Parts: sequence; structure tokens; C-alpha cells
Amino acid sequence: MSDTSDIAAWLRDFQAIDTADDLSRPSRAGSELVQAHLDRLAFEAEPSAFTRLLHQLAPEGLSDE
Amino acid sequence: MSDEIALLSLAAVARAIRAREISSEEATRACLVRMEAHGGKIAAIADLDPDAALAQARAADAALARGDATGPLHGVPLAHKDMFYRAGRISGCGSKIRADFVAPETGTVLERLDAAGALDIARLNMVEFALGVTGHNEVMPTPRNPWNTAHITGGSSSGSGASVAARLVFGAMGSDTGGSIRFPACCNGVTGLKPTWSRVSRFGAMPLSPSLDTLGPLARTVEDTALMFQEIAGHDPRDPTSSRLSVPDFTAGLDGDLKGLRIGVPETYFYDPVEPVVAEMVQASLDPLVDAGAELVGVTIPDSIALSNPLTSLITATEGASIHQRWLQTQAQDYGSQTRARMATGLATPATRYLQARDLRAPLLAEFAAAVFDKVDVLHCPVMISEVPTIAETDMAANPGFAEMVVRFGHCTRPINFLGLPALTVPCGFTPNGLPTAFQVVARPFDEATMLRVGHAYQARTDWHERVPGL
Repeated sequence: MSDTSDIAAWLRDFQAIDTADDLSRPSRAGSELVQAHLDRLAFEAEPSAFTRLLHQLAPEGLSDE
Repeated sequence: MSDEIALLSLAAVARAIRAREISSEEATRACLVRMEAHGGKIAAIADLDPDAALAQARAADAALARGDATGPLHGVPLAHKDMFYRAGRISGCGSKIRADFVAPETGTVLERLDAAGALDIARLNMVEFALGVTGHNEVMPTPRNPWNTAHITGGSSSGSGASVAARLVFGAMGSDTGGSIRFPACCNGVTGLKPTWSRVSRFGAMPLSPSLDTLGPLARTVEDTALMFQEIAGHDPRDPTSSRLSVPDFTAGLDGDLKGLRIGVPETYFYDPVEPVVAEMVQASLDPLVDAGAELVGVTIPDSIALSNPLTSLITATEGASIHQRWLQTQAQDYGSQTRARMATGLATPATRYLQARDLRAPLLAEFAAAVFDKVDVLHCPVMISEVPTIAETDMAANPGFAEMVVRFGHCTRPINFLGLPALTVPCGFTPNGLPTAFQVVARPFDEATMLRVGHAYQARTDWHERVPGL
């Protein structure tokens, strides 16, 4: 399964649900949201940025074990 | 006497066992009596072996007699959401698909609770694969709210919330990916702690959405919750994503005094869709905190927080779909319709969008922290937007509108998961339909100690947490 049409076909065949639009709607809505806020992403976006920030915001008294 | 013991807090029963005022066997029998009397009404228990539970208790008593018992939870009967793996035992994950799955090893959370001396006496029902906010389970029993069995328990740690509220056990572990500890705590009138992402090892617990998954306790009081959390927090080499930050003493600050503490009261976002009756009760819960010495500060929440709820849907569905794809293809008929539909949406997410959604967490957290934690120590806000609804009125399965219901339900909880922050749910009264409601305290990352201080100060001045449902 590589795209929405495959999934829609699978749902239709195996679940008797004809929901191509419904299925893609949440994903499409999320995609549109991300598209609208791409300018918030730093060019250097990397997976540890979030984890690093979590630790930077921690109370000062905590140290690395 | 049996019910007297069952109604004690976890802290009190642990003290009584350690002082040998009661035995672990007596405490366990007290739980078993209530399970026998009330367990069926609330459908909270997935599996229970009374003989094995009593054998654990007798072993704990024997250890205490030998002087071997040093753990803070020694001899205390607990039970956990059926997604915490114990070697050789089934972990069904609320599903048909994993109904016979026997865990090959024991997860870190259970190992640490074992080391603290706690007993693990039952597996508790849960939402199928922890993917659900109301507590409904289409393929396994749906737990019922002990305050009124026509109402939902909230999900996904549905059996954990219901069994702690009904005093079947003294505490229970749950998981929270979008509100799954906080909803059951709120709906059932118990205390629930969702930790900072990475504060508790996830090794040996069922994954739903690893970027968002957290594991935490539900118990009767803030002190009980702190006692359990103390044992499970901290780095674990078996989960390299777990934080290496040191773990403070979470009970040290539970003195009821909040002098000098600034509590943020949101002026935007959180209250927008909340029913007035719930909003009034949550706002009234600020009074005891002011009485304890806290200063209230109005806080404007950044508009960007509105993004975090739908992006939580995208991340959860995509990561869930990745984990479940093989079963979606081979055993689709064994899923409940809502679980299947939510997982299936994730298969349609473009990889670029998924990665961008994850990368938006850092800038959104930075905006939130600047707006909130630069001004206050913690944020106080609602958990649920409405009174606890009935099982019937929220039984949507995969019918049109269910996805919107999930997003709407999670208005106050899911942004906290997206931002990776800790939150504590504290019961604060009963709405006109007779069901509990609660507020949540959100703290900066890894500052669970401060939110526990706030919750304890509230419970020192109120008695909502002592109310017991009349089953």
C-alpha cells in the first residue's frame, strides 16, 4: 500500500467501506496545516531539536545522571 | 475491617504494612473482596488469579518478617493496564489480535515497581491498543464508570481509572498519548500523572505512537501518585530515549504551602469550547490554591497551540499505522471499526508531512514556553470540555463525525502531549449529572515535582479525592 487509492481499495475490498474521501480527509487536513506553517521550521530541522529543547527548559536543579 | 483497609490510601496502606499493623495478605484480600463484589459491574478487570495474588502477598509478608522488605511500596496490591509486559504472562492490549500474546520479558516499569515491593495482582481492561478517548472497546469489554455505570470511564486507561476509583486496587499504571491517563482520572474522580515525554522508560510496554507515548500512575491521592512515580521515573539503558536527568524527591515538597508560586490561568484557547458548568468548577478550584499562597497570573496562550491537536492526530495515526500495518493487512476484521479507521488514515500520510509535523514540535514548544513558563511556574486548566457523557451517547464506532469527536474531546489534553509536557489531573468536584470533573496542572518539562506540590496543596484543603462511589 503506497498511496491513498490503494488504501481506499483495500478498505472497499476488505471492509466494504467506500471512504476514499473520508480516509484521506484527516491526513489531508493535517498536511494542509503543516504546509501553512512550514515557515516555522528551521532549515536545520533535525530530530533531536525537540528533545534538546525539553531538556533546556528543565528546572535548573536537575543534573545528568 | 476488610473494607476499611480497601478504603485506605496507597500511602496509608504502605505505612500500615511496613509497621506490621496489617499484613499484605489482609490488604490483598480486601482488594479481592471488592473485586468479587464490584468488579463485574464496572468490567475493569481483564484477568485475575486470586490464588496467585495471595501467594504474592504471603511472600511479601514473609520477606517483611525476615527483615528483607525495604521497598516503599512493599506488599501493596496494584494492577495495571493490560499493556505492561511481564515475562510469561499474556498482555492482551485490549485487543483480539494480541489476546494470546505472551510477553518474552518484563518491562522496566513493572520491574521497578516489583523492586519497590509492590504486588501486581491483575490485568486491567483498556481501549483497544490504547487508541481511544472515551473508553469504548468494540472487541473486548468496555469498562463502566463506578459513579454511574451508564457513563464512560474515559480512555484509554479505562480499567485503571475505574478500578482505582472503585477501590479495587490502591494504584494502577496507565499510558497517555493524547489524554489516556488524564481522561480516566477525570471521569472517575482519581488522580493521574502524565509525565514529561522521556521521563519514564517505555521498554516493555505496548507502543502506540512512540513520539508521544508516556507511562504514568493513576491513584487515589497526589501523594499516592508521587510514591508510584518516584519508583518508575529515571533513565533506563533499555530505553535509550529515556532522559538522563536526575530524579528529585517527589514527596519532599508536599507540604501544602504554595507561597511564591505563580499559577497561570489561560485567557485564551483552553476554555473556548468548555461547557460553562465545567468551566465554573475548574475555575473555582483555584480558590484553595490561592488559599495555599499561590499567585494567579493571566496567560495568553499562543495561537499556534491550536495546531497541536490535529497534528497529534496525524502523528498518532501515522506511527500507529506503521506499527499495525501487517495486522491491518492480514487481520483487519479483528480490529474494532474505530481503531481500524484511525489506524488506516495514517497509511495515507506522506512521509514529508509526518516529519514536518514532528519537527514543528520544537518551535511550537518554544513559543508555548516563552508565553507561559517565562511568566508562571505552572498552568492550570480544564481536562475535559464537558460533563462525563454516557456510553450510549458517545458510542460512535467509525460512524461519520467520530474523528471530529476525538479532536474535540482532546482539546485540552492532546496539545500537552504534542509539546511533551507533564500534567497532573486532580479531581475538583461533581457536575450536575453526578459524575466527577477535574483540573489539570501543566508544568515545564521535567518539573513534575512542582505540579505534585500544587495538586497536594489542593487536596490538603478539599476532600473530593476521598469520595468513594457507592457501588
